[in-house]
Amino acid sequence: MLAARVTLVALMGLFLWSQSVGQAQVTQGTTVIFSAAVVQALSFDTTLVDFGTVGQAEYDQGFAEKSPAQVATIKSNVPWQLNVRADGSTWTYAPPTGMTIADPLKPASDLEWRSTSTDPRVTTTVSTYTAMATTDAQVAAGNRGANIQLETHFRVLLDYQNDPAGDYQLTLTYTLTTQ
Amino acid sequence: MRGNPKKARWAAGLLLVAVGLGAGPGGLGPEGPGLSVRVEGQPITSWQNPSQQVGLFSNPTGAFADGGGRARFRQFQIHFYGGYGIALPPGAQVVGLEVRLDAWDRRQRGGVLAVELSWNGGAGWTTTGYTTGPLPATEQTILLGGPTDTWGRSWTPAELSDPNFWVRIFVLGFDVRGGLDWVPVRVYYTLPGQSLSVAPITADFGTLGGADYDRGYGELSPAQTVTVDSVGTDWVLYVESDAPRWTYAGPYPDPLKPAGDLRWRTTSSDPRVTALVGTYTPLSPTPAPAASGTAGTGIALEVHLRARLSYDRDPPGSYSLGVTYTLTTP
Repeated sequence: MLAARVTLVALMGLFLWSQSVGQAQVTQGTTVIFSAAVVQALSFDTTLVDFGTVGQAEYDQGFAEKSPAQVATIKSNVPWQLNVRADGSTWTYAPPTGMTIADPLKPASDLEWRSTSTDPRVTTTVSTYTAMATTDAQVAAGNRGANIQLETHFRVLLDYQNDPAGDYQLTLTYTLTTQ
Repeated sequence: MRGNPKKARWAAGLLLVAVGLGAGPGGLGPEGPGLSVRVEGQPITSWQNPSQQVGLFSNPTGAFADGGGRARFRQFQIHFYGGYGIALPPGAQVVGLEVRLDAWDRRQRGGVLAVELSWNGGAGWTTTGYTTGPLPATEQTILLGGPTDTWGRSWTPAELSDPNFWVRIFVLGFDVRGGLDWVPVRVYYTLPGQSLSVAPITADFGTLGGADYDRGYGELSPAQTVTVDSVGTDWVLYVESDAPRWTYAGPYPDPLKPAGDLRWRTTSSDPRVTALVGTYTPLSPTPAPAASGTAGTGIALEVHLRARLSYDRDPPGSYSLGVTYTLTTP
C-alpha cells in the first residue's frame, strides 16, 4: 500500500512537471484600430482662364473658346461630385482706357462650359456647353480615388451689339462634395 | 538568524581576521532562527543533507542530519561537507543558494564560522566572505545566502551535483569550543517558462486624414511594447492577424480591407534580442517570426505599425483588426 502511494505521488509529480515544461507557447491578443475621416481635395492646373484679346473672328463666329480651359485634379475617399457656379450674375466690365462706355451688364450665362475626362473613375460629365449660372451645377461626378483628372472647357458668347470693347471678368467657384 | 555577509578575505592573516571579526558587526541579527525571504511560488529544494565530509572537525558526520549527534570544532579548523545529492529539474535556473548552520560556541568566545561554496570539487571557491557572526552559547540556526543570493556567481545544475558541490567551513576566533548539529543546503530555482505582455493592448491610430491618405499610410511608431519573459530557454515571438481582413463599420460598403494593409516591424535595444524584422512587413493570418532572443526576463521590444491607406479602397469609417502575438521556443 505504501509503495502504491509512493508511486502515485511520483506519477502526480511527473504529471505536474510535464504540465509546466509542456507549455509550448503563450499568446497575447491585441487590437489595432483606426478611424478614417472623409477626405476630399480639389486643385486646378490654373485658377485664371484668360481668353486673351478676342477679335473679329470670334465676334463673327459668335464666341471665343478655351478648350480645355482648366484641368481639375480630385482626391476623394468617398464618391464625389464637382459643382460650379458664378459668383455674380454679370461679368464685371472695364472700358478701354480713355473711353467712356456704359457697363453692358454681360450676363454670367454668356460663359458656357462643359466637362470631359478619360479617367474611368469619373462616371458623369457634361458633354454639351451649358450656360453658367449663379447656382451650383454639377460639372462631374465619380467614384473615390486619388489624382482623378477632368477638364473643363469654356466658351464665351460674343455679340457686336451687346459686347463693347473692354475688359471682362467673371469669378467662378467650384465645390467638391460627397454624393 | 541570518549570518553576517561581511566581506572578509580568508587569505588575510589569521590575527587580522580575528581582530576584524571582533570589530565588525555581530552576526546575531534580530530576524530569528530560520527566517528567509522567498518569492511566492518559487521552486525550492528541501534541505539537502550532506553525506560526505573531510577535514579537521571531530565527529564530523554528526552534522549530516538534524539532531542525532553533532560535529565538534575548535578555532582555525577547516572542514568540507559534500555529497548533498542536489538534483534540479532539467532547464532549471539557479537563483539562490542557502546554507544552514545549526551551531554554537559553548564558551561564547567570539567563535565565527566562515562559509564558502565550491562548484568543481574544491578546485574553486566562492569569495563572498560570508560568516555566521559570533556564535551563541547554545544551538541556533543561522542561514547564509538566500532566495536571490547566488554567492557571487552563476550556477548550473551540474555544478550543484555530486561530486562538484562542496561547502567549506572555517572556524575563526580564539579558544573556540563549538558544535555543529546540521549543515544542510537548499537551492532556489526557476523552471523553464515563458510569459508575454503587450502594452497597450489596443494600438489606436486615431483618426487618419488627408495627410495620411496622401502619404499612403498612417503610422504608429512605436505602437506597442512587447515584454518577454523566457526563463531557461531561448524564445521566438510570432505575430499574426486574427482574420484575413479588417472589420469595417461605416456608411459605405465593407471595403474588405486586407490584413496585409497593416504592416509591422520590430526594434529593441535589449542585447538579449538576437533577431528582429527591420523592414515593414505585411501582416497575415499566418504566424510570422517578429523577433527572437536568448533566455531572460523583462526583455522589451517595440512593434511599429503602419496602416496603408488608399483613396480608392478605404472609405471613411472605423477599422479594427485583431493581432495575436505568440511566444514560444525555437
